[in-house]
This record gives sequence, structure tokens and C-alpha cells, in this order.
Amino acid sequence: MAVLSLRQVTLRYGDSGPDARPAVLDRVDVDVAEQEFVTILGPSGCGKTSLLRLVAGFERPTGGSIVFDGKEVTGPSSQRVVVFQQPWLYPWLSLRENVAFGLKLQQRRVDWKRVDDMIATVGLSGYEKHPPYHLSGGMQQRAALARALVMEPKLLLMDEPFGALDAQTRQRLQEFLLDLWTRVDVTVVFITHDVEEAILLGDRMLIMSTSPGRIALEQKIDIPRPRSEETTLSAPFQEIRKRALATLGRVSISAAGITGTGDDGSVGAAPDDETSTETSMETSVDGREVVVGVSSNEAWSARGPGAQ
Amino acid sequence: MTQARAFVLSEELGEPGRPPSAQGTGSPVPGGRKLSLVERVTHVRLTGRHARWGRRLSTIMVLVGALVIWEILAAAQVFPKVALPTPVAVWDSFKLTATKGYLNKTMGQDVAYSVVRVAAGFVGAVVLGVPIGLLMAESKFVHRVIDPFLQLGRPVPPLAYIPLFVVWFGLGELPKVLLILVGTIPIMIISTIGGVRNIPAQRYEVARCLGAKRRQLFLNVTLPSTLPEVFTGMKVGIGIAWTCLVAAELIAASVGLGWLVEQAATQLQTGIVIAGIIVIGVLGYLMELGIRLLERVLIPWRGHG
Ligand SMILES: Nc1ncnc2c1ncn2[C@@H]1O[C@H](COP(=O)(O)OP(=O)(O)O)[C@@H](O)[C@H]1O
Ligand SMILES: [Mg+2]
Repeated sequence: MAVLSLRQVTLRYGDSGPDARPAVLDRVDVDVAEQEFVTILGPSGCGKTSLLRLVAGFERPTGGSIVFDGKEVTGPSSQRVVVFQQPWLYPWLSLRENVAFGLKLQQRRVDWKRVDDMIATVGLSGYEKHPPYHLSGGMQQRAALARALVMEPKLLLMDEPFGALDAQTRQRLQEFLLDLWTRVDVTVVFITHDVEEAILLGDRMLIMSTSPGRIALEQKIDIPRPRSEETTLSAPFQEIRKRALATLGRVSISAAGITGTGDDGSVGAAPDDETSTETSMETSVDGREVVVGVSSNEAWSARGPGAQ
Repeated sequence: MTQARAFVLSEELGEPGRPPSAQGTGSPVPGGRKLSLVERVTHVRLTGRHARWGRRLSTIMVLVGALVIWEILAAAQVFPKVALPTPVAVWDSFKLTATKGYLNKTMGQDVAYSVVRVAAGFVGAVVLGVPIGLLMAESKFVHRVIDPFLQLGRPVPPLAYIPLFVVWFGLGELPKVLLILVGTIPIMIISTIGGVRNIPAQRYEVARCLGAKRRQLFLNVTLPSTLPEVFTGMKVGIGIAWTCLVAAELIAASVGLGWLVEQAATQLQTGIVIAGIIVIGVLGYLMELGIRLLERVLIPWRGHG
């Protein structure tokens, strides 16, 4: 049974009316099953963060409905906790108090054992008393994860949580999350612009197209768990990766108006395509200011990780 | 808002709008620091604790150097003796004023009166200004009511209020304390508003998706996040408070450092004038130092994301 369903979700920033800006999300349908790990992949600026913010309840859709756990989403809830690209720990609180922050909001007496157990789960025991700025970027992101998981949310929303980390730390955290995922019961919607990350982590991957943002490809990832960095070298992984890159290339190019490829749902997996799609991904991975797609009247630019 | 920033921003006021620090915040990387005078003179690079003492030593050297030049100028009588007494003569004036007093008031009394006035006015400005700023930042209505007064009042130099306050409140303590309060409160209000407006949206979003309600957001996010800019405001505000005090005492007082300086000047007691000015400088510096210490204790996290 789907714990989260988006039906015909449309999002337009700013006013509607004659000079309304084009829709960021256009009639998006997504279903997420309980205990599922769904990754959403797409070029920067395609509306991934917007989608996540709608599910989190920070934003209301212009059209369509978002139903979580049988109820329409109308605002944020501790059942749907977000982990952002930056850890956003409170510098005036110790690591322990940061992790306990959500519990403190709800309860007069905090179950400190639960807090300390969660800190141990993310491997930060011994750092409880430290302020967050004494921790490395990777440790801070694990603390942010602990702060979310200690609430025992039904749904964990992650918006490029490792996007601001260096490659090595990022790889360690991916493996850490894979392992953690086997130990906690939570449904995850994980957003990324990194193809490998999307395939490595997810049970299912959704690829979004740019302006307007739609789901261009839905891909089941049957690769058995436990997975690790080795998994990325396996044949099934490479197969899915190739298909993902082809789709990404198609959605970016069609958005840029370079080819007239329509939205016919065809997946052009021509091997020759691969080099060019690789390049287009590289530019967005870089995190520099790049134009990823141009619609007839407006250039859509993607900001780097720091600006999001 | 833009006006507010313009008011608060100045070279040495630190980094109100500093972006959240990047990833991998480890220990701060040393280097890129300017060399202290001691280092430049001796060509020895100092680190850590030594660097701090090096900087202190530089300050002391500069002050001693200035004293020596002053002594030479005064001794050589480049200027008439009444205009520029020697440092030793100033020290004697200081001792005399401190022990025997001047015009029936000892230096101690003057200092006590001035310090109490500044403290009362300044604390009043902080205690009133911060909540007013918070209210203005949180409520559009309150902002609309108070902002016109702030905008109109700000260009008026506080000193222009002195005659009015004397007419209204006489020559007692009240008009002086009020003048300091009126002069200092705008910077407190404006820094507080700036502090609230600069809070990154994610600080709120983190709390909201963990279940925080409006009141909890205010207590757990707004208040602590605003503290650094409140302290920035206080560091500017204490200087303004001293300016207002001395001005008030120059014009309408019978005790206090401003009064002392003014009276001594009319009788050409230049030694006392200079001693009074130095005491004002030292006291102002000490108060700012006190605020900095308090800041270090209350918000050691300042500047960290
Ligand atoms: N609050 C906002 N107001 C107006 N436009 C926005 C806002 N947030 C995002 N956008 C625009 O919506 C598009 C999608 O942004 P976003 O959801 O952040 O994409 P992604 O996370 O995939 O990079 C971008 O063109 C961006 O400029
Ligand atoms: Mg994003």
C-alpha cells in the first residue's frame, strides 16, 4: 500500500494569471510504498527540491493532491522529516541537544537513552557534548540524520544530503546509509543529481525532466542488498546506469531545444549517446552556475549546491 | 531593512550576513593574518598565545611611543604650557583630582556618576530595544506603527534633544539617562530586526518538520539566532551611549566626567581636561571589553554556521 501518493501535482511559483511563470512541476504522479527507498534523479533546476518541499509540507501545490498516510498534506509534520543538503545543526546546542531537539519540542521529559542510542547508531558516540562546529562535514550530516531518525518518522525526505561533501566522505556516507537502512524501518525519498548514488541506494529510481518537471522514467532497481561500492561495477548496475544516462541526456537535450525530441516516452539507449550525456551530467555535478535547459521564453539556470 | 543593514554594517563590526560556513568545519586554519608590529620589527613570526602577547606588546609599545613624543613636545614647549602640559603634569592633575577633588567633587565621584548614568541608559536601551526589535520583526502591524518614529528620529543627533529634555525634566539624573536611552535605542532596535531577518529559512524549516509550533520557533530558533547581531548592536551602542553622556554632562550637569572636563577647560586647567578625557576613553574601552567578554561567554558559537 502506498504510504505517499502524489496525484497530478502541479507547482507554479509566484502569481497565476497572464504573466505567470511556467510550472516548475507539471502533473506529477508518484506513489511510494511503505518501507520503500525511492531515489529521485534529475538535472539541477528540474524541480527536485520543489517536489520534496511539497511532500514535506513547506509548500502547497498549485494543483493536484498529496496524500500521506491517508491524509492530505497541509503542513510540516514530524512524521515526514527532512534532511537537507547542509546539516543545519544549531550551533548553540551540543550534538546531543541537537539530536534531542525534535523530542524536546514534543515531550517534557526527553528519553535520553533513545537519543544516545541514536547517536550510537550513526556512530557519533563520544561526541555528545561537542558543539556541531567541532565535527567534520560528514559527521555533521550524520548528526542531522540522527536528529531526523530519532523522531521515528514514517517518511524520511533527503535532499541531496551528501551533495556538499567531498567524494570520499560521500562514498563513506552512502555505504553508511545502505547499512543503516537495513537497521531502521523508514520509508525514504532520496533526491540526488548523481546517477550512481540514485542506483546504488534506491529500490526504485525516478528520473525527472526539466521545465516543466515531470517524471520521465521510472526504473525498478532489482540489485540485491546488501549493496556496497563494489555493486557499482556489477553488470546489472551498469545496465541501469546506461539507461538512466540515456534518459537524462534526452530530457536535458529536449529541454534545451537542441533536438525536437518530444515527450513520447521513448528511451533512446543508443551507445553513441553515452559520451555526450556523460558530459552534460558532469557540468551539473560540478555545482557551478550552468544553464541546463532553455525553454522558449526563459533560461533555467541551476544554482550550485551552496545556493540551494 | 536595507537602511538597517547600512546602519549596522561597518568595517570592524564583524560579519552580520555571513553565509553559513561551508562543509568540513574543522579547526580554523591559521594564516592570512596581518603581522603585528612586534613581528614586523623583529622579523619573528609568533603563533597562538605568543601572537596574542605580541599584539598586546605592540599596543603597549605604540602607547609608550606616543607618551614619549608627547613628553618631548611638551618639554620643548613647542606649544604653550597651558595648552599642552607634560604627561607627568597630567598625571599630577589626575592624582590631585582623584584625591583632593576639583570644585568639591573628586574624580571618583565624577566617574561613579558618569558610569551609573551610562549603565542605566544603556541597559535601558538594550532591555527596551531588543524586545521592541523582536516585536517589530515578528509583527507587520507593530513595525508599521514604530518604524516612522525610528526613521524620523534617526537622523536627529541625540544632542539636539538636550534642551528639550532640560525643559521637560530639569537638570536631574532623569534627562541624562533618557538622552542616553533615546540615543542608543535605535541601534539596538535596528540590529535586533536585522538579526531576525538574517536568520536562514532552513533554521526554521528544520524545526518545523521536527514539529515546532510558532512559539517554539520563536524561543528555540529566533531568540538564539538573533543574539550575535544584538551583541554587534551593543558594541556600537556603548560608544553612542558615552557620546550622549558626555554631551549631556557638558551642557547640563554639576558632577560627572563631562562636567569635569568642561569646568576645567573654562579655568584653563588643561591637565585636568586631558586626564578627564583619558579616563573617559579608558572607561568606554573597558565597557566595550566587558561586552566582548559577555559575548564570548554567552555565544561562543558566534561565526559558526
Ligand atoms: N521559492 C522559489 N520561488 C521561485 N522560484 C523557485 C523557488 N524555488 C525554486 N524555484 C525555481 O524552480 C525551479 C526548480 O528548482 P528546484 O526545485 O530547487 O530544483 P532542483 O532541486 O532540482 O535543483 C528552478 O528554476 C528554481 O529557480
Ligand atoms: Mg535542489
